[in-house]
Amino acid sequence: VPTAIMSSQVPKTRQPQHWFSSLIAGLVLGVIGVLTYITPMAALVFSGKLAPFLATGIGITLFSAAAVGFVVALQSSFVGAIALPVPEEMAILGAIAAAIAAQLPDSAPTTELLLTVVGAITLTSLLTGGFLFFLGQLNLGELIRFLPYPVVGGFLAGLGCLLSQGAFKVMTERDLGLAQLAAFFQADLLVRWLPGFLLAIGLLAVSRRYTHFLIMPMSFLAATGLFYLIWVLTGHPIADASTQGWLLGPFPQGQLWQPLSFAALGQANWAIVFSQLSSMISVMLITALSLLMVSSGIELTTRRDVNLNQELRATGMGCLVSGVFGGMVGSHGVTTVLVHKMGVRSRWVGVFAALFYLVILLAGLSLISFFPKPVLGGLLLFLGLDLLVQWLYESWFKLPRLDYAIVVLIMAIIAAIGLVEGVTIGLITAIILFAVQYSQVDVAKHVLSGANLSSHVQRPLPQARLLRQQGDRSYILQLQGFIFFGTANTLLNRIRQRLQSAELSPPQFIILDFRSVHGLDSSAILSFVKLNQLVETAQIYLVFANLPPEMQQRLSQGGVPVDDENSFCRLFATLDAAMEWCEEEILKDSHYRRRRSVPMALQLQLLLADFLDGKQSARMMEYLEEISRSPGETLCSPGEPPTYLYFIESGEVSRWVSSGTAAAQRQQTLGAGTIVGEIEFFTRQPYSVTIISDQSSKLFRLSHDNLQKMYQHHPQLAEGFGQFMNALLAERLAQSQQEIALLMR
Amino acid sequence: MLSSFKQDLQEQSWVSILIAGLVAGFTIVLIEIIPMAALVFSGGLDRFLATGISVTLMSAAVLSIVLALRSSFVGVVAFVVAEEATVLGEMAHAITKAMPATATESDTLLTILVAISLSSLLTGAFLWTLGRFKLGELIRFLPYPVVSGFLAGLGYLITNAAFYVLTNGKSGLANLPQLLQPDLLLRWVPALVFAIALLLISRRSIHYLTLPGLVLGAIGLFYGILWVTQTSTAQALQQGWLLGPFPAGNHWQPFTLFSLSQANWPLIGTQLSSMAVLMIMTALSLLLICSALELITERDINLNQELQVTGLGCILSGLLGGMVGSHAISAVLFEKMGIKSRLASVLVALVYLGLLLVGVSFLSFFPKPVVGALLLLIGLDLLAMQLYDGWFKLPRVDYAIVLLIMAVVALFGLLVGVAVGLVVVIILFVLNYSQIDVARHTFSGSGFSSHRKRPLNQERLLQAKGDQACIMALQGYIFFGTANHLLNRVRQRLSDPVLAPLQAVLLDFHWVTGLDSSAIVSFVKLKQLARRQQFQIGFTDLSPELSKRLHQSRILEPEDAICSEFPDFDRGLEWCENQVLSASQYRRVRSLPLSLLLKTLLTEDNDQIALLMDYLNPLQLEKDEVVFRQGDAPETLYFVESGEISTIIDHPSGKPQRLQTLGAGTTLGEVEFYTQATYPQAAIAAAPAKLYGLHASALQTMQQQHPQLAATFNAFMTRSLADRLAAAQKEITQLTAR
Repeated sequence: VPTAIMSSQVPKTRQPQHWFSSLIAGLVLGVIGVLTYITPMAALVFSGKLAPFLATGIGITLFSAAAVGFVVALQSSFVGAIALPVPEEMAILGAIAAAIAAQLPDSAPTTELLLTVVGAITLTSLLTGGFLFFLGQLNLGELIRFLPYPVVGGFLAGLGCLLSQGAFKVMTERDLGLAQLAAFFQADLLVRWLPGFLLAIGLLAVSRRYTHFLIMPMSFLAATGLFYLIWVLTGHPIADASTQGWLLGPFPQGQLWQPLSFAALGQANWAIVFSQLSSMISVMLITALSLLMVSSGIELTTRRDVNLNQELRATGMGCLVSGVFGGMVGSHGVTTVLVHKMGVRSRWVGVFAALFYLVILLAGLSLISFFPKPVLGGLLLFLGLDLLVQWLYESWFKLPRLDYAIVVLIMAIIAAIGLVEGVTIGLITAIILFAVQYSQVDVAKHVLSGANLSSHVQRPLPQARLLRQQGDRSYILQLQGFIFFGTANTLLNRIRQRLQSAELSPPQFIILDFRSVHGLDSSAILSFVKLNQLVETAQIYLVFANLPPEMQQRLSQGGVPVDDENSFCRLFATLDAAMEWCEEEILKDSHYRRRRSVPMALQLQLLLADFLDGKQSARMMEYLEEISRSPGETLCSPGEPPTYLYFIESGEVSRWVSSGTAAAQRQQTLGAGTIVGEIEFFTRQPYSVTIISDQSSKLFRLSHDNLQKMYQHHPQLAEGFGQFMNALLAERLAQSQQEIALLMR
Repeated sequence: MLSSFKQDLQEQSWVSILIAGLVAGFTIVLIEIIPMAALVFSGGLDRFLATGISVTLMSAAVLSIVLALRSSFVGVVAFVVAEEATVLGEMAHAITKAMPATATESDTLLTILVAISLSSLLTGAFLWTLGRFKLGELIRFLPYPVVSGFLAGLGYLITNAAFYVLTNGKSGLANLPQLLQPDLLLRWVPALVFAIALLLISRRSIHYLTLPGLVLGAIGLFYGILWVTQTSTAQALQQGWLLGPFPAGNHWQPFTLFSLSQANWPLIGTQLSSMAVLMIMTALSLLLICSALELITERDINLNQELQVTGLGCILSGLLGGMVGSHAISAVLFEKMGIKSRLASVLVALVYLGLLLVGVSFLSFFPKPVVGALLLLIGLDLLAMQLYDGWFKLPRVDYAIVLLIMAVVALFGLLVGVAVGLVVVIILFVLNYSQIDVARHTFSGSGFSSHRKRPLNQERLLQAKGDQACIMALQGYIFFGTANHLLNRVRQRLSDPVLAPLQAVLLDFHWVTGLDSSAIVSFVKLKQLARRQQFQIGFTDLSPELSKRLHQSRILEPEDAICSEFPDFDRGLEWCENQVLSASQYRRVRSLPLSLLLKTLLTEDNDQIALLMDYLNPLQLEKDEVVFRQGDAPETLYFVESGEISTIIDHPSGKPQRLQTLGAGTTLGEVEFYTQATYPQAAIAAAPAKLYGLHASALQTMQQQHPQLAATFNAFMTRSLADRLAAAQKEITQLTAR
């Protein structure tokens, strides 16, 4: 597979300038890797009792960087990725080595100590490699995408901070801290870091304006040349540069490469190795976290998509390869961004860097000792400052203030304590802030009353008028979102306020529409318990509409008698049904008596009064045909051709819509004196709804044929009827449009 | 105040108030105040218990009087409650331990008392400030599982303290093996049995006299056993079975300036952190108990007023050298006795003062097992309520949080427990919220059409090629937990092999309540994706602040080729349809003269058309010219021959909203023409347009002169109205579908 990917990449990168820039980039990153990651980190792991093996340690680290770097360079989804053992991982490996050294008896031969440590390192790499590969196979890399943006930003700013600190360490061999700040401005130290600092600032300024693949390598070469030129011009012999500490080195002496045989590993104290299992697990987790964080950071900085699962698999393979040969774990270094800054986009960069490590491994560290420290430090500082500028300066203009504060907080924690702590605290802060922000969202999307919302029941005009007048008796809240401890009480207060309102008459029904509610937590349940108490004291009804079954169960578990007919709570499947019930109650209260059903002939006379005189409308009966339906009986079902228009003399029918798998929904209920089936009759489209008789109903129907006949025999009647129908359709259309406007709000 | 007493006496008989006050007073001293004093001066400090009880009684009396007069809750009962006593006890222990070896007993006691009164002053000021700045309502934001866990943790602490009281400070719950030794077993098992019996009884609704009766009975039983076992009181005192013996002359007295200077002030200074805990704890307890009282008594309490009043009470108590205190759930006693009077609370305070005057030395004969049992009752009651009842009431996750908080409280203290619990609950909420789908609905372009009336051939094309557009109605607060879902949705849609390549994505923000910066980054990525995959993105119905943020992050830019913004969903849909049409290289038909159009729609008969045209008035409009205004009376029905008309509604609040765009070959104003209602919206020419108007009078004339034509025309209008009604009904169904 690697060769296949390589050969597909090779044609694109065969142009000479790409070769050249890839080579320079590989070389620069190789030197940076050796100097800022590999040598110090090897020194960290091989310290104390292991100090005599430092050369071997550097050898192992170089080899690991080469192995992981090579595999990742070829396999990564991000062309130009650089991987090597990174500080977070090495810190824990150091702890493992120290623990092993402490556990081994002092009498044990030093080779046993070395082999035990190498055995532990190997086992860690194999476990981590397997773990990463497994994560990648299970597509778990995407989980990191849930990290809030400010947290990733803070992580990058923290890395920028650490890189800058590292750069100062390279140039001055001192740790940069607040306490030492004054010392850094004294002449002897100033001269060490100022040239590198100026180089970094210069690179920063140039790279923000131009991107050309030659800028970085040429500046690097030019800066190196300039250094030697100034050195010679100021009259110093070149040899002095090394002794005065201006060049890299001195490096520990000794054979770097000591191949270990499997037989030798048999001498390791495996019991002690296995006692370090818990630390190994933290290496596994830290490596995965670091890899994913750095990768998504690279993604953000370079604006290129990275397939995180592919990265996990590639790094996993790299770690496995490294482990098989006794090497350490490794993952993507943030220096990958530098490759991007250099404008190089080639897999060869990683390959060259890996080759460079191998060359050093064979030839010794003295090979790189001619590099001037200020130049290398300047490059590192550039990388660090670039991240800082991006996340501390530019994000000031882009991020909301709170998010910016999170970035700064995380950076400070990373600089002061550590990466993992910074990310964890940042994540928790971001989560809390989100909850606070979300609690600002109003739970009630719309607040309505019976005056501006009515059910789909077609009521005679006097009833409709009465309901509108008494609209304040129902208080309708269309709730939205996740009702949780941050918002639950706001809802309660809102209802309390409404109950105490001086201007409006107290409501008799509080209708809560849960259609857009996504969830309730137990604090919300408690609020509803309190609300239930409130309504019981005030003797008003609490009506739930569109309440999903799981919420209903939780409410009744919490003590809200949602489905108890003896309480003040009522439950309806839809807001429409809830509205209808409230309207019925209000009508009942107002002692409104239902009109006894009026004979059809009389009804027609009333309906058509605006268009025809009584004599003519009486003739209409000749064209109608009487039918009756018992409760639950179907009048029309979907797909039927619309042959008839129905007039209801008595009873009630409803139009039901069923869409797909969803439960059927009532579109409209029509009572005596109304007309049903008019849309289908006039559009001549087959029925898409089911019309069912709710009560035993008596209807009269008009067929297309009879309407035709009417036009022929009684044109004036037909004309009047046509006008009546136009007015009716227009009226219903106006109502529907009003409802659409309400729904679209 | 006097008037309110008078009113109390008018409403309720003074006898019942007197009885209630006395009964409540003695009950509270017996089952609350003595155990609480024992809680503060528990373990190694019982030598100071007499003073402790005096101080507790005095503080309770001060607080009760202040609260009785000023509280918004009539019939309030207040004293140092368990949360506060626990913290005070920890403080007293810490001071005793840190006192230099040379210090005398009275120095230690004085230092403890000064620390207690200083903490009261600080707490009082803190509560008063909270109330002054109306911060009481903040408590309502505390998640229920956290409150529950807090109470469970408190239950554990009190139970633990009860064991210390029972074993004379030798062992707590954590030291189980020691507790199980035979000599200690005798000390706590009877108390535990009694406590469990009390718990079982008190969990039923019982008469208010049952509990004090049982306690008196238990005291009697204790002395009965002493008599049976032939143990003298002196022996019992010596063996630590009784609260006493109290050292003589150790009663409470107000500080003198001299005694203040004798206190070990540097040591008190080290207790400032405990005092801070006490301040927060008192506020927390006060607010929690008030909301519990609200729940039980179904009365509303003004939390801010309570904070201020209690703050005053604590300051007063502190000035007299007393401790803090706050509302106790025992106020329910009055509720059970059916008394609602400020006078009753004053009487309770008078009972405290009376006992204080008589002297507390007789309390030295109070049996310790009974005090321990009462403490156990309080602790176990809390535990039973939270852990046993909670199991049936809370979802499993919330129950786990309660357990977690209780464990953290037991290990690290109350405040750490509440903080950890709060963080965990918030994280869980965010996790839950991130499960919500960002897209409320996802449609293809063929599932939804804009209100723009289009010629039939265009509509057919849109139906066929609709899946080149993807319409997503987003919802909720889009944040780091959900932002990436959206991106993945679009990616999935792009990689779908069955559907046609994507031309346009329409994102509706109507139901979006907010965006965080991670969501913004997702939109930046979406835009990058769109640039690569060559599709366009429309944003509709953005609130001003969302629009501003999208502009700030340069997702929306003027003259942008990829992202466009539309004021409402309908216009976004129309844009989407236009994208699909232009992608299919659909050429607009040139507009037909109305007469030709009518021929296809109305009738084939040329003569009829010519006749109809005579009744119509042509009308030429420039862009932005008005056809009719909102509120005008309808007299004319319009036919659009060419150009474009928009209907616009003015909302009293907010921007004018476009309802519909009407193109060539459509009718305008027919609804109002037939209903005779005034226009609810205005119509304006969106482009230069030519209209024909049919005046109502012209229609009347037509009916008389050419009935046949009028009939055809009416039938046509009926059909067109029914068509539009059907479309409107379909849209309503879609909008109300989940």
